[in-house]
Amino acid sequence: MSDPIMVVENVTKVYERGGAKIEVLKSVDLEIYSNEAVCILGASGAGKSTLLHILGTLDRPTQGRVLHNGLDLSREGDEALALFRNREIGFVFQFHHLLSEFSAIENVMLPARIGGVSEKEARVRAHKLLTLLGLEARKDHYPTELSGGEHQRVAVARALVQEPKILLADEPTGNLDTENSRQIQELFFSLKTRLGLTLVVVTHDANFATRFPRRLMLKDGHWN
Amino acid sequence: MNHIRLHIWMVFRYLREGRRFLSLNLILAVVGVALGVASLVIAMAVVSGYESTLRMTVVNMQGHIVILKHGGIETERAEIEKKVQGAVPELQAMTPFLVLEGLIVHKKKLSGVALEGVEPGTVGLVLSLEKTLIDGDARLGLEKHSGAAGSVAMEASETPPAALVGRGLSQKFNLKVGDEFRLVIPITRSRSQEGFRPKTQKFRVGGVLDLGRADYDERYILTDLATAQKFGELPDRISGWRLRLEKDSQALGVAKRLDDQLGSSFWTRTWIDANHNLFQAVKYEKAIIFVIVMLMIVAAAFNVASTLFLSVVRRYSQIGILKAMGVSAVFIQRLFTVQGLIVGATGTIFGLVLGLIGCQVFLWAEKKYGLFPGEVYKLSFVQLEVRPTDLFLILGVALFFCYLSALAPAKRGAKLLPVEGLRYE
Repeated sequence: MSDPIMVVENVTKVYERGGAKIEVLKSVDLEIYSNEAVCILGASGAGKSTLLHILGTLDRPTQGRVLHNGLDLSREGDEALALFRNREIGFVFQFHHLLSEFSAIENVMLPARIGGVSEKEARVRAHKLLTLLGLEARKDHYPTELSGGEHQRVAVARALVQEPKILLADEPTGNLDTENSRQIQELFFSLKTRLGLTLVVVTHDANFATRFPRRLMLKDGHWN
Repeated sequence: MNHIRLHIWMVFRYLREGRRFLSLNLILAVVGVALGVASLVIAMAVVSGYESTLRMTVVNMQGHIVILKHGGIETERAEIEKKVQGAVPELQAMTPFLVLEGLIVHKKKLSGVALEGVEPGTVGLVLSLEKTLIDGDARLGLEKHSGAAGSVAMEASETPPAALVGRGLSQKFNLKVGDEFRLVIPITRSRSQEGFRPKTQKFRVGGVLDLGRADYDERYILTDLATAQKFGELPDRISGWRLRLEKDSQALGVAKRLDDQLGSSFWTRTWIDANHNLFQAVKYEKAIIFVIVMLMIVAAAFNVASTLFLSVVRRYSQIGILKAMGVSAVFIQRLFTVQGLIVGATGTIFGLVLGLIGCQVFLWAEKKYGLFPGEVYKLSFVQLEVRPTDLFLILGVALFFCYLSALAPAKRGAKLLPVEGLRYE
């Protein structure tokens, strides 16, 4: 087996709220291999999203470290982490988080433009992805004019525009009806196969979870 | 380059809030800055204009430099004139004058005045009498008498010598062109006798001058030098010369040079010395007004800050997602700082235009309603002066405060952890 693409080593995360310390993650270890599909399950407050955020460098661990291809990300500065997120990671969130001031295609173009890609090239990439996801006709629509499923598909396109190696998704179907949820699930696995993605998904959805070859359960900040 | 384009693209999208033209908050912030800047432009134009008008009226009435000698000048007049001309290459013209203190008596009213005898041939080169003439004829008023003065006894002359009077005197004594009035001056008795004897002379109003300053207008009467010398019984005597230089700013340097060259019996007064306290007061007043009116811009900058704070707080989740996409803290800070600067620059440009329009309205109102009572402000009319240095200073101050006001919200956005931003929905 090849070396893991991401490693979480002995990660602890403590939040302070109202003077009280809450230990959300307790010495968690995790190895993720290239082109793997991992599902993280657990009850609310188990620390699933926190782990995903730490894995995606959106948050820093209180203790422990996160490695990407052997590089200790916990030691990197904010600028380097921003670059890492732009180049290596794609995020999909439960609440879509599209930027309301930008049209669908502009939302998809953003990560590419942030990464220094020219507007023309970014537009070509975004257009290709939106077409792939069946949203060509909606590309110039603004988020307020899109349905929940369309929102999430635009968010997926945006996560993929920089051709990342890893796609992290936090409850990507949590806010969708059954039909849209099923479409997004299909989309994830077809993209994984087609683009060779490493998929790490946090979900409550038992049906969605069963489709993953590797399922991990978090309980009270530990692996169960 | 791509990053700059991205910045500009995002900033304008945020300012427009998507497809809307401009958000109301933003319009109010721009209006606030514009009003502050416009107020400052008008206030500075008024004070600068007051300063310039004051300087102009002083120079027009007194020249750049006055050379005086205690007891007056008689025999050495030609010699001194030659000396001055040789010593002052900046000299454009000089004119002799004689001042007699006296009283104007007319229709049972009297008032203290200064009768100044001026040389008709050169006075126009030094003092701008033509510009200040509001009735009659400046040249006629001075020249008409010059022919008669030498030959005809003053009191017995059928046509009294012509004089130019200030507007204040003309109004106070209801004098119009062609009207006659009397002046009484004290004549020194011979050395053996002490005291003075009064001498009366009739004059005719040849023209009315608006010297721009209430104190000049209520005090000065001009006539030709020969008439004044004869009336004062001071043949060939002059009080001194008035000098016109190429530039106002040369006065102090030239005066110092003249003081050195002419010796201790002569002394010089520049246009600045003549009103030193007033010019100083105006200078301080300008600085104080600038600071006070600038507070309006500071208040407007707070408005910009609150608009940007609102923009940052509303976009917490967007900042989170932008950071998740790989945007750095510096990028976020610049995104909101540039917004603040754009609001500031837009407000400032509108404010400058509004201020210039306001200046025109002010001038119109001044002409129509006379906003400056001459007795209070010394000047009866103030030309507004918009100085480029003032405009640049206002521009700089407005942008500086808008930048400062944008910094705090921008830093707050930049500091936000991506995960904190994502918690907001």
